[in-house]
Amino acid sequence: MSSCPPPSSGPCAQNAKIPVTAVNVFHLRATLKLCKGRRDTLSPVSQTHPTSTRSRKLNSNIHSLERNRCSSVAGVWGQLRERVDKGARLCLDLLRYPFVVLSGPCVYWIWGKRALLFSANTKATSVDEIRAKMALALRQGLTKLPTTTLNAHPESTLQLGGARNGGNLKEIRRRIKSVGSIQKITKTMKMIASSRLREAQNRMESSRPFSRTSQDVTAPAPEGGKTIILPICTDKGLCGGLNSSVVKTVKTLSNDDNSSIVVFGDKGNAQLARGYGNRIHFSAGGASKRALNWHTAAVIADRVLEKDYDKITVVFNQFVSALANETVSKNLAGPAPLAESTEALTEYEFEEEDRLTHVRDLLEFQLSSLLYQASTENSAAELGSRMSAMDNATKNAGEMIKKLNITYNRARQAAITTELTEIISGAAAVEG
Amino acid sequence: MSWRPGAAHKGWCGVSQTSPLYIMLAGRILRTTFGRTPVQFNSRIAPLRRGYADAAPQLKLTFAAPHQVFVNNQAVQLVQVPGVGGEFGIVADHIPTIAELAPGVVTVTTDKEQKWFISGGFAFVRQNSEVSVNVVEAFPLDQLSAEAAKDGLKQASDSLARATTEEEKAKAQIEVEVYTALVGALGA
Repeated sequence: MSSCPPPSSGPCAQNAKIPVTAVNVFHLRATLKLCKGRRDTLSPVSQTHPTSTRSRKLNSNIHSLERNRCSSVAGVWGQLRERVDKGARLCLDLLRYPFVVLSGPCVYWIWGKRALLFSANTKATSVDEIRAKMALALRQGLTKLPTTTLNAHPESTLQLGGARNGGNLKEIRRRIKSVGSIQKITKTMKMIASSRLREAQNRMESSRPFSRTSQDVTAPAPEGGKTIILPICTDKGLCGGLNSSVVKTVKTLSNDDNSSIVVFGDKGNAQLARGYGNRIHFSAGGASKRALNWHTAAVIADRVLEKDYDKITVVFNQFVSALANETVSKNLAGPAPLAESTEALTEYEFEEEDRLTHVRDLLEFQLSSLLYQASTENSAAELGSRMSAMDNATKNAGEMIKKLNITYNRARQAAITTELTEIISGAAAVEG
Repeated sequence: MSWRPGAAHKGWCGVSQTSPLYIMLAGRILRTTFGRTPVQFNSRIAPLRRGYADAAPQLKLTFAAPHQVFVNNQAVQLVQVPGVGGEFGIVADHIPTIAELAPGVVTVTTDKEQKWFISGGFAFVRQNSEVSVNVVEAFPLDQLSAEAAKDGLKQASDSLARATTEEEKAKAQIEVEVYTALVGALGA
């Protein structure tokens, strides 16, 4: 028995006190096929020693049971109980039957879809010892065990081919299934993102001339002073490193205590709340379902400008192409620097007299347009980024499924090989 | 329409008449009242061509709303915009100017004349004869209905008379101004 695999825990250990158990367990179809095909070669004993009448009768009973898979375990026990007094002999007869499987320290007798576990947790090393133990187990167990309890031991459920492979196979199958359903989701998300991207891109492109011409009249942003930082993030994740790059930029910009932050998008808010929560002036979300319109942008700009500031920095992802985007920060100088700036505005004449009021209005207009532009750019970048992220995810899931399939097939083959080895060694045990 | 409370510093009725909120409101009225009305009024006589054809052909105009571009960096002869301080025309080599725009008509003259009604915005005239007219909402004038504008003006005047709170007054006031401008533009 040196070729037997190491002792497996599980049913054997748990059933140490119940030497004989039968359970409706598993599909032995593959094993049965193998065994039936090789029956003669696997049971050389029956050739050298002609089978006794009794054992032949038993065998025929077993075969009838195989044919009629629905027959109750109780019936089998009834057949067996008649021969209990001949336990040792029966054991040998049973061992002659090719479906006896020696798996580690456990000995199983198997017919149809059912299995008997003999001598759980046997530490027998020689074939004789196993025989003796089996005979003992049969004699004791068959008389003691009431037929009704035969099916009542779920923990003694057998996984033929060893508990190690059967469980593993099931687990791999489950994983393949779950990766497959994740792949379906990522594929759908990619398709949705790509269909929405076109619309977002159109919006972005039609907003670009407006934003470009609205924002180019500005003073150079002053160094230091009070800064309001407006990171534009997304409300939903699964869009690559879009939000983290914005947050990273914000963290480098907001080193001094003079800055306050107004966050757009729930994801950015969640990231900045950790560590920068005291600087967050307010945050706005819910712009992902419908992109920011001018109305919302104007209301938000109005609220942002309530605060005293020298500089506003808007950080967002600029859409470059469906596969690439660039995190940019755009500055707007505050009303005081803009009004005082000789370079920026002296070349311009104001139609109206009240210069500072109009500078404020201009700033509000500029901030609204900047927010609008940042939002449209960011939503296009989000969809593009999500598209490529989900494309990658789908590809990765496909690769993972491929690998899992290979693992699954390998495990399946290993299980079959193990079963075969066990059957052969069982037969060899009888022979020896 | 959300209205931010506590904006009293903004001037009359809480909103500066030239602030983006005001412009936005005006744009909303324009959009909701006329944006989808079928063309009912198209009987205006084409006005006389103005004689600026030989002034300087290199005036470049960009006329855009946030969601739409009407004229993109195109050479035009004359742009007339409704400034807050009065309507004015821009030709090439105009002095660099920043002007706020009131609700009114923007007229763009190339070899033909196109008119839009705008809700307000900003006009930037740059040194290199580039003009950008940035508005919140704009509709071609011939898509607007004079009857609907008159009805709107009547309703707006009624609601201004009935308004009790500052907020209602401000809204009604803006409506009246936009409708007055609109009726004026369409009734010409």
